[in-house]
Amino acid sequence: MAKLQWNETAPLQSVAEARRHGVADGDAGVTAGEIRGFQLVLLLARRGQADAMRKTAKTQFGADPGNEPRAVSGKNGCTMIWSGPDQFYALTPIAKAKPVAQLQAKFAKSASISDQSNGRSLIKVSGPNARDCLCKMLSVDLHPEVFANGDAVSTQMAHMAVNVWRDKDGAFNIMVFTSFAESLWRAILDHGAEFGMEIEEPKQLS
Amino acid sequence: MASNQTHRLHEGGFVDRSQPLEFKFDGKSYSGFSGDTLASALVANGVRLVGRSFKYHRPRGILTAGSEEPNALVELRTGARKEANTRMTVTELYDGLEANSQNRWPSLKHDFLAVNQLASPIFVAGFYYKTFMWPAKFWEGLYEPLIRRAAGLGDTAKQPDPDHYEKAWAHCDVLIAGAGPAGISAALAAGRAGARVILAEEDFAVGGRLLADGGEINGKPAAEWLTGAMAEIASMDNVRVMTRSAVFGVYDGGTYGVIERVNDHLPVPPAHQPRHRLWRVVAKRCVVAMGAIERPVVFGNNDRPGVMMASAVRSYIGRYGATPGKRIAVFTNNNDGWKTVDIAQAAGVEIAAVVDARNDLPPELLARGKDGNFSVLNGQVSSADGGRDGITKVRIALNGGAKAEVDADCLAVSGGWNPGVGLTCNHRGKPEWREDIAAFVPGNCPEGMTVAGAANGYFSLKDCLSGGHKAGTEAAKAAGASGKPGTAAKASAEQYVQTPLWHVAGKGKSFVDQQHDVTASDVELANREGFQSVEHLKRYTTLGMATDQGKTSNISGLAIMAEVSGRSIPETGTTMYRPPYVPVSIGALAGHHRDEEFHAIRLTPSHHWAEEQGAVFVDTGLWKRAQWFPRPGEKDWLESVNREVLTVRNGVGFCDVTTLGKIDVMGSDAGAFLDRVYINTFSKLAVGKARYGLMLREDGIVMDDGTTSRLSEDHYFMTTTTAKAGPVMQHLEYCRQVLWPELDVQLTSASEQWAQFSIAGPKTREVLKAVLDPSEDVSNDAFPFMGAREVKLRDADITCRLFRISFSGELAFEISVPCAYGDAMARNLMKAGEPHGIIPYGTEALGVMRIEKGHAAGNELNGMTTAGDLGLGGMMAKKKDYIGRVMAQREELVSPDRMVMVGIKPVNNLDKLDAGGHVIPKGAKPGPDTDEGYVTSVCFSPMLDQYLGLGMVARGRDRIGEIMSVCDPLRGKTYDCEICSPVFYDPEGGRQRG
Amino acid sequence: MRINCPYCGERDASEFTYLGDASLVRPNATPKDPPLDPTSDEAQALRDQFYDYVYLRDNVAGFMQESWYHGGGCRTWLTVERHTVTHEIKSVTAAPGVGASAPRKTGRGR
Repeated sequence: MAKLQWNETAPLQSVAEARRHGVADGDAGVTAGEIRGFQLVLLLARRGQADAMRKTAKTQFGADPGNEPRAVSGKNGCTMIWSGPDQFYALTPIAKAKPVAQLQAKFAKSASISDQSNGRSLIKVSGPNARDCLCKMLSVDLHPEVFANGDAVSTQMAHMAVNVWRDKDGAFNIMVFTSFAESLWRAILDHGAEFGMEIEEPKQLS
Repeated sequence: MASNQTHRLHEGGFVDRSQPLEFKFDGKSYSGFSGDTLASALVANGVRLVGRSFKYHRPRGILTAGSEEPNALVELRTGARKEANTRMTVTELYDGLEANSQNRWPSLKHDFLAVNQLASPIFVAGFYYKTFMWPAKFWEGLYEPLIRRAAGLGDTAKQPDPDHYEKAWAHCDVLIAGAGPAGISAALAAGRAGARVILAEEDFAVGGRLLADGGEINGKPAAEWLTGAMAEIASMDNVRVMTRSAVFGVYDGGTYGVIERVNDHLPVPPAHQPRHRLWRVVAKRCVVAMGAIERPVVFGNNDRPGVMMASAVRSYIGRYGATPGKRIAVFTNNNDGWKTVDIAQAAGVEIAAVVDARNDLPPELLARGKDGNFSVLNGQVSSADGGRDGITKVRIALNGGAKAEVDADCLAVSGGWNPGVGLTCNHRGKPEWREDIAAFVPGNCPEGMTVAGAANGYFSLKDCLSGGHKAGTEAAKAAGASGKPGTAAKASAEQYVQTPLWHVAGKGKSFVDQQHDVTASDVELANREGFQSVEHLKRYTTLGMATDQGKTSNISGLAIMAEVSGRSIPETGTTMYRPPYVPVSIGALAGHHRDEEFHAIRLTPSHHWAEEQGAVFVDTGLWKRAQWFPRPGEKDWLESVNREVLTVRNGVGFCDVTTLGKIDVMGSDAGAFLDRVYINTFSKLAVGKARYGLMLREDGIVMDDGTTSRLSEDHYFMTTTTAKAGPVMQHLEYCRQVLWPELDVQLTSASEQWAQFSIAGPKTREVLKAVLDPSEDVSNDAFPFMGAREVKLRDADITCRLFRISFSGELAFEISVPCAYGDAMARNLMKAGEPHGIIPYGTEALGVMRIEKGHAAGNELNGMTTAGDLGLGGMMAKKKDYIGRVMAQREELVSPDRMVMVGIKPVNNLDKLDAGGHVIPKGAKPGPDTDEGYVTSVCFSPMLDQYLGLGMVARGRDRIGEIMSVCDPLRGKTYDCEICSPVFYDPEGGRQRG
Repeated sequence: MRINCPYCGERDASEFTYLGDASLVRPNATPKDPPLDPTSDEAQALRDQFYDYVYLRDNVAGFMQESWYHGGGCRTWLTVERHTVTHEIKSVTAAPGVGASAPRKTGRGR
């Protein structure tokens, strides 16, 4: 039998391609694109082991994730995103990521680890009107004094559960369940259209 | 200036005479200017008759110049964008606007149903209630259709709305409702102090009464101050001005509803822009500065075109440069009404007379008539005369008893001012009566709200400016802003003096609520018939229940009730104020979520592949699932489904079952935890094994079921039904966090990580071998029934999870692959399975096979059944505690008479079974007494070549073989059925274990 | 309504799911060895305790301890002290077993 082809399909494979969307004139007010190529693991501290988990995170990911709604940068391009008390996501470019089994061994006593690398779609939204677009879907305050670079929230967007954080450039990173990705994508496009949108070529997480 | 604008003034106002706009009203062309409303443009064109009333079809004109308008309603726009009952007083004029008057036939001037006026005795208060008491058949057949044709307002568009609507969130320290002098003053103070401010104004222009009444601020014309203040506000990044945006409701925790009419001022919204946007504003503090509403005096024929609120007359003259009359009479009970004289005369409009009802009329006012060349009459207007085109004469009862008449084409009426307390009462707050202004003022306001200016009962410009400044300063401070608010602007403090006057007896109908045609005598009738409570008055007469929510009528109505029932106004009280304060379109409430986007849609990883295959999809909760895969030549769905079932049973097929909930249950106490949530035991399950589990609610009823596997010592992988994935997760978190915090358990949904496929049929192993790494052994010995472990895929370094579980009753495996390979998996299964005749199958075939096997699913796990009812009572562990254990032992839940799950087979194998039919003893008369069960699930079984069903039947397990009847009154069918074992196919289960 | 989640901060009520009275304690239902006769008084007493736990509720017009689930956020179960008439919220605390909090026997299951 011929060799089987196991092509990867990204959550927004069939919709996210570079183009202009919505109002066509002038500079785009909102830029959006899919980010691919990442390892995503959810770490949930074992009973009474939150400090131990954070300590191990420091050696494994290069920084203390803390226990506040923040997105903390570590080494190897890793971002640790708070998602609830004593739990966080570690998001790492796939090329620099350690195997999940290795992480499970390192965190064996301090945290349970669930691989979610395929369970989330990552969408980046930026541009001068990013806030105007997102405030139609997010109920949290997006004012930079309230939701600053490096801040993270677990919330809902157009009725879909999301994790949102602002990276060091101020862009909004939105992580949503894979099965909802196309629905959320359409919502973003609908709400950003009036500002003129630039849809970027999907990028690998770097 | 267009020649037909007969009532347009040569100068003055805030319209742009260099920008003429053409529009049509009732098919006739007119012109107006940029800055006009439809109402002001019609005023400028001398149009006075604009509508017919609700019940009596009386001719009506424009009463107000604002949001409170009861009469001047039109059908705005045409076709799919037609909007009924639109207030022309807040409809911004645009080029090409089309509007039609409503509630008239065949035309506004010659309205056939104006004869209703003659039949008016039958339309009195309580008419509907009294009519309902007549024989029911008369009502349905005769009266209702008649009334529906006669009464009612505009006609809605019949096509779907082509525009889109949005919802959005905003956050601020201080929300200011209303951008008149008080609101602007508050915004300046709060903005300067550094607070994040939203200044929301319903109108398209800011300034409030300043636009109409002018005045002096800081020693300069008010307009100059307005320009300067708005420029200062524009320079502050922390202040956001939202025009065309009305605050319509106050909700808990400082959440406010604001409706922004983004594009109502354009014929069609620009591409990609919404028509309306519904804002939910979260504010630490709110300053209500929504001004006051002038109240009418009720007298005979007070609804005739040409009778207008005095403040509205000033708005048309002062703001729009258009006069509602060439010869205006003023009727007032207060000194504010006299402003109308100043503004009209300044614009060169003739004043016919001022009728002032106050006995103690100051001599300097009496003297003004001489200077102004008009008569000043101390008395009350008793009625207005004139036909449908408007008034020509005003009749006056002079104080002291004499009568007088004045010729006028417009009567400006001022009965005083009612502060706009609506929003302040949204949290069950009760307004308080203030005797000096004879009006209700805000009482106990919602948390975080303060009121400033006229809305607070302080009407002078000085009070508005200083009150706004104070409220803005305090709100900013309370919200944590520490900057300096600056000083308040200054203006003179003119006194507001009034003597209450609500109703003048006179010839002709006297209307309280003009939109619902409620008259003063209706209020009197309600009093006579015992409906004296304001809430009863409202419902009995429908006073204040129209689209304007009684903004110009409620207070007059209750004042008249107070008078006739011999109580004071505060004793009589007000009705409850509820949101929305202004109309909010349904589209705005729905926002983005309509049509295909009504709810979020979840797609399985093989969705796009299934689309390529021509699958028919079904909505399962939020998911789209392939229901069946039709092939060319198949005449209906049943043929496709039969083929899919037969292919699986005789060969092999696969189905995407990703939608099942999947939960990682981890931690050293994971097993103990599962023992407490499932009725059966999982702590002793061996690593590498799967087990069917059933969980109960605490009341002993089945909550959900699924297969849970043990992947390692402290890692279980739970599956739930598609429908209950969310609720089960929430339940488990409750157990973990609330009930048993001592357990070391971590939970997370893994539903989205894994694409899961069921591969079923006798040839499953051949297909599996072709997609798995050659080293994987899936023989019965190496991978027995209920086995579960990780496997590698062929030609790739991808780890998957393989489970030997079967829903179809065939030899079957479920394979979980990381979602990114879900699409590839479907394609490779097709490719690898081709030599074995593999097919994809959908949820219908899945359902047929589970019914043939007697597996309970959602229809049987229906919130009423116990484990015992489903034949699973034996699974209930005896030696451990688990959710639902105790309550499941209640007498009624273990009664031998309970309805339990059985199979149901029509005696005549050509009969079609339908779910929902009731099971009764054979030959019994259908009824509640004979009802012994119901059919839950049915299918056509291609294996048995007949319809089969599952159902719940009392003592069912003892009745196997009994012939009963299924009665289906909904479909008008009754047929005989045999009660049998629910397992119709392969009862020994040899196939799935082979 | 807004609920101030101790972890996420103040959020709109639409992110939360209401359960009900948070003062209820689940009775201990560990089976006896040998098992109780289901018709015994002791068994009936246990069923009565559960009957209270599952069905009987005070209809409070005033402040009440309520369980709310922040399912649209950090998935924490919260105890919210809320006035059922005015909707005023006095306090919000997390469930005893939230996150990885140290193991303790203070849960509402006995």
